[in-house]
Amino acid sequence: MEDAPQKDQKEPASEKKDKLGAAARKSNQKPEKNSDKKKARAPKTPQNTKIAFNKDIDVDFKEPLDDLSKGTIKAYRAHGSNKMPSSLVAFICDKTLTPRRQATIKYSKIFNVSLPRFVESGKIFVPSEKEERFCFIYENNFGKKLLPPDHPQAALAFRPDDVMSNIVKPLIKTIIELNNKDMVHGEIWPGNMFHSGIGAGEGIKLGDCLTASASSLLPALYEPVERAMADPVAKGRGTLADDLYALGVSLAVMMRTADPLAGLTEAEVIERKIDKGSYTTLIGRDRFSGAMLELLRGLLYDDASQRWDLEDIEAWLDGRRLSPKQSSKRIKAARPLIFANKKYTRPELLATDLHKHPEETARFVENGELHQWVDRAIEDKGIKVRLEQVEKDLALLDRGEGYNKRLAAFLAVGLYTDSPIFYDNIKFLPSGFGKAMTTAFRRGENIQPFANAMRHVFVIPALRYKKSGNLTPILTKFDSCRAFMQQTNIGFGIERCMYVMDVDCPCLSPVLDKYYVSTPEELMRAFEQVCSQDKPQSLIDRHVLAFLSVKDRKNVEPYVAELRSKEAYKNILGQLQTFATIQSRARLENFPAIAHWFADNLTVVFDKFHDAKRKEFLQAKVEKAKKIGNLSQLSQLFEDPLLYQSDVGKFQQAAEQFKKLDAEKEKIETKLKDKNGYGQELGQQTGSVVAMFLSFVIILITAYVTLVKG
Amino acid sequence: MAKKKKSKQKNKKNNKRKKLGIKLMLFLFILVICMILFLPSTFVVVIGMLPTLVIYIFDKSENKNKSFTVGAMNFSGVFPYLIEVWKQSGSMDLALGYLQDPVTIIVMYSAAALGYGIDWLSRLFISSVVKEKAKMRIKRIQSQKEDLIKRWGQKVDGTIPLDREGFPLEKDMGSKD
Repeated sequence: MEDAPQKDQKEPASEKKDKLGAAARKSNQKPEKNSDKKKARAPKTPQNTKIAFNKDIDVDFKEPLDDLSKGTIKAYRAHGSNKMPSSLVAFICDKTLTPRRQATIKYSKIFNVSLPRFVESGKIFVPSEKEERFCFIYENNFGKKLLPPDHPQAALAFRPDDVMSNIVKPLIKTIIELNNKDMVHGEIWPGNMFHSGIGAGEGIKLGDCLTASASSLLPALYEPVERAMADPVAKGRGTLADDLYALGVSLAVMMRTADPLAGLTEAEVIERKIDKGSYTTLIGRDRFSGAMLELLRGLLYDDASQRWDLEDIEAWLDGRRLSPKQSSKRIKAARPLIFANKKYTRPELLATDLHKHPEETARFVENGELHQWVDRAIEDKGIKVRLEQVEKDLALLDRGEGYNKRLAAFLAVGLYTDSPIFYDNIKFLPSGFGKAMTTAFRRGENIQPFANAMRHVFVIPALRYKKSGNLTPILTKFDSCRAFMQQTNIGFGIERCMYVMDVDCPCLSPVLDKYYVSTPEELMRAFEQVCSQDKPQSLIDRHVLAFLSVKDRKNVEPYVAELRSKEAYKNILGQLQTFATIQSRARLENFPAIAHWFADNLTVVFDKFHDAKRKEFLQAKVEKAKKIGNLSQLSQLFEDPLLYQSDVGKFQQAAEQFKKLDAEKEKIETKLKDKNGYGQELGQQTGSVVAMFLSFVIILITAYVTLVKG
Repeated sequence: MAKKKKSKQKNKKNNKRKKLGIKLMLFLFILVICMILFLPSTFVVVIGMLPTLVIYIFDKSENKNKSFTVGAMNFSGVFPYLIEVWKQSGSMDLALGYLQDPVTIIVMYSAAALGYGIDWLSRLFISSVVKEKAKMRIKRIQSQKEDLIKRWGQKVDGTIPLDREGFPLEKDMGSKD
């Protein structure tokens, strides 16, 4: 995956296709190659199916609550003790969807009878999946589901008066409360509504909205046209206007007597909404009068700026009758444009289909057919001005491989500024790009289009055409990600972009595939379990470093050079120092299993020492430290840079000494070869001294005897 | 200037040689005078020290240690007769008497032989001691080298090409298999 940006220019399209997707799948499948290892890496758990979420809550995985489950998000009965409510429900999040963890705090502060009471959230081991999942626990007083999930396009034929008293008022109050806490629900539709079962919608309650990103589980029917066009997970953060639109559609579905959209596909529903407007599309032949008509018209305006806001609704609830605004009509061309054998009179519909035929789009632009159509058949200056600007900005596009796809995406935004960006086979709203990318990665889908979208400049000017919202933060993110994509080093690349673009994304390292890790602290604890059961080759891989670089940049940055080093000893020390810093910064408990893993993998570091005595000394210290599990203590053993310098210096001295000893030995051996000569001179000198001494003594004695005695 | 300096140096050398020559001449002159003045002693010394002279002639070592050893012992054999001659005020008769006595010659020459023996024995003993010592040193060097290898690894012996940090260079670098 790291090579993808570099090789992009050289490889043919056929070879490059699915490259990132393949890499993603490969990295995901890596631990699966060895099923034993996979089992071993699963978090430790008791064998029974009743899992303790915490000391007060148990989740019973033998008791699924199918009525509350939402597709891949399963609900199970949970039991509370002590101060907790006894009847609880646990929603187990889908592995591929990112839960709204940041919204949890806001949600927990809301006390509203029409919202399920939030109790707890956190990780839990799911026995059937043999892995950790994120889970939300609510009080189990939902009631009956208003609409089965497999019938999103239905007609409940509720009486308007019942709807007014039982549903509209409590739900409006709920939306106001959510808005006061600066959050949207994102999943308002009858399939996620519950009631007491007595009367039409009495005791209405909205279902969970935290288990997946906003709108990702909301059927397209309940979304405004622009959001409905985007991929479910690529809709980004919703707005109050979207919640109100969803409420409007829900009310229409509840009150209408027949479903005018029965049998239509999502794309056909969207097309009809564009053509006829949402209200007409949803209501069909039903006729409402008075207050309800006003509310429905107000909530179902396709133009978000015209749609009723909370002030309008409060005024309406107070009994003021607001004159219905005329729905702003969408632009329609005087004559159709034939594109890919299909007639188009609405620029919006053309914009949504351009990406399906990029070569045709390029031809249309080059022969000026599109320009002519917009110029002559459409009486809207806005589109003309935008198209001229787009044609000028085409110069910014990279003319390399995939130009036609970029051109189609660029042009679509020019024709329909509120639409998602249609690029290759992905359809995303700017703020939903990150979640769409991480979801695609987790599902093992091709993520090459996401990589290309970040690598090429076209997204940034395309986003500038958009009218809605403050796009500065997302533009900054795209700009940063483009820079990250240029770099292939560990810590950069598409992995870094994933965590930058989707801040809630858990760590997607293959080593941690059975764990839910969303903070550096959780990462440490997950690795402690991994290391206690298995011996992974490396702890910090591309995903872990990218994850830490985003979540804990200050603590990781000093060791990035070591972590990128190809020298094994530097890399392992970098990993140790990173974990030691996290442990001491967060004042975490000891991690003996991680310490053991490091102790086993420090061989390459010991090999860097020349001095066997020093090695033995350090090994003894490591053995001692690993039993405690204090990584800082372990790391400190190798932190002193003089440790290595003095070792090298002393080695050089030893080598010098060895050389001298060799020379001395050679010299002695050469002398010894001269059997007759060696030691002769010294012998003669000694003989001279002895003879001199003897001679002196004899002379003295002779002199004494002769001269004194004689 | 340079020529002047060279000529000055030559002059100095010539002066030195002249001075040495004068000193030697003076010494020889005094020696000859002494030998003439103490003729009996001269006879005893010359005849008695003949072995030393022979050894000196055949001793080709630089320091002439053997000549020195033999000479010292030879002189200790000559000295008792020399002192007797001095005691008799340098009597020529006595000197000749001693020289004609075979015992005197035997004593003098035996002393020289003793000196020769000392030289031979000391050479034999000392050289074997030195050789043993050298062998011991070689063993000690070998053991020190082994210790160094044990502590610092085989690479310390300098036979493997090392990088700046003292680690073996990659063998395969640049090689084509």
